[in-house]
Amino acid sequence: MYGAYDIPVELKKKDLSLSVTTAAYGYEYTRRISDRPDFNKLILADRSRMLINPVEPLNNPKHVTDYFQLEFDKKMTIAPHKEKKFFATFPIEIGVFLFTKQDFEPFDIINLVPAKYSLYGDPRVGVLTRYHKTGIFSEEPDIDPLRYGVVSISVRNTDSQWNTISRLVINAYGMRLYYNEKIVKLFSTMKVLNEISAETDCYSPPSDKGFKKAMELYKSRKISITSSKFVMMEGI
Amino acid sequence: MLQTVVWGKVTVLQLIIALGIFIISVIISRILALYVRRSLKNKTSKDALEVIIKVISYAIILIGLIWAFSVIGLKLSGLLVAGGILGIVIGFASQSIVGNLISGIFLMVERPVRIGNTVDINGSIGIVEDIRIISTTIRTFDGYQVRIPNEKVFTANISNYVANIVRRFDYNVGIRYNDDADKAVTIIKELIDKEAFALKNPEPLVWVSSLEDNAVNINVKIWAPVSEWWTLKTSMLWRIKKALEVQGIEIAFPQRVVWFGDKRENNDSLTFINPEK
Repeated sequence: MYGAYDIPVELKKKDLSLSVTTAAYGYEYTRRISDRPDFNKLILADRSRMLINPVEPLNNPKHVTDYFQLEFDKKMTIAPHKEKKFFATFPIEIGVFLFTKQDFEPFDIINLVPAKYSLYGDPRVGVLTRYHKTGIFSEEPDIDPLRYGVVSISVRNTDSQWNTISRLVINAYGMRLYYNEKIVKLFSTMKVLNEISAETDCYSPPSDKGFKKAMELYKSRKISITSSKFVMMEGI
Repeated sequence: MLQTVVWGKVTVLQLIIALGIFIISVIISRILALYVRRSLKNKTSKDALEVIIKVISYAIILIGLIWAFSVIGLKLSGLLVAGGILGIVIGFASQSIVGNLISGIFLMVERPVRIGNTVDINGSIGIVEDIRIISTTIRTFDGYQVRIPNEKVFTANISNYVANIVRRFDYNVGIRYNDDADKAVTIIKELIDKEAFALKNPEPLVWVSSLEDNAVNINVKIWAPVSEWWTLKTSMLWRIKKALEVQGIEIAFPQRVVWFGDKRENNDSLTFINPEK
């Protein structure tokens, strides 16, 4: 389903179908998900294209935070000065963009995975996060790319002590998603500073052959980015 | 005509120039405020922006006022000396104004409340619309605008409902004695788990809190983002009630069982009166 299409168009995959049909005033967009009411929107344009790609999962039911928290189902203890890489899953949202030669706009954002939010830290200094509990994998797991993505996490313990990690908090402004029809990918680093703090960031892979880089929502909203890093100070 | 003396040595021309300087300073302050607002709109928080704009505006108007006074031959230092007794009289008369002004400055520095915060100040509950140099205005939830002098704001007990990013709410759900309380707790927990804005952490608490005369009380504590707190609070209780009823658990209502002493079968126990017997 991911990709760029000329409108009018009709797309269907599993329980999600999207269509743009011609109407007297331009086009009519319809989103149909099996167990939910239909969503309709009018497009007042003569000619444009539609791009569908995964976006950061922070928009539904409402954008309340820019941070994303992954809680691992098993705690991991990492040796001093050791670097390890593993895989985890994270939910994604599907962004529908309309674009012309001049501009592009986020048009619809679809979530097929129910959202859950959580506080990282305490109520005074903590941050609100979109929460997801994930398993730990040594290889990329096979999952539905319309619902979940795979995050490659490189953990580096810079401390001279053994440290235990159980979660990862990412700044959404750094989430660069790469996708094809089979998988959505994210690349993240976690630099463990001590037993309670770590610095996290996302990075572009050295080679993205066979993948397209997803249009980021914050970019489409023309938000200027100051930093994509996040320092976990309230426990790791 | 322009050289006509209107008061002391002040001519009409000087008066017009002074007035002109003052008006221009007001206009400049407005233009600059507009420019600063546009420039810093997305770069700083709304309340900090308002403080910056006010400081700039008042400073320019004050400069304009001092300049205008000097044009008509009034010097502030002279005024202070010449004011003498008049100054003391005005001082006493404007005590509360000065108090409010100083409180306003402290409010802007300490910032116990910010523009846009939901607060309770001396029983006035609403959203802070503006913090001016003399007073603070609050828009109550029923649409009134309440102006509170800064002196009162500064000395009042202030409850700021949005100072933290999350907030908790509680319910007491009373179920019948013959219902399974463990099952009810599980149903409520499952419902909370499905709700996006009922936070995972801090963990929601659902527990049998008391055994009352007519009901087993289950206490429910849920944390939510402050922006979603009210919406969630107003919707969850009814959803809990409906979810419990679907599973055959009902909300208890007051009832009293009456025992009649003349139906005693022995001295130690009382028997239910069964009308069918």
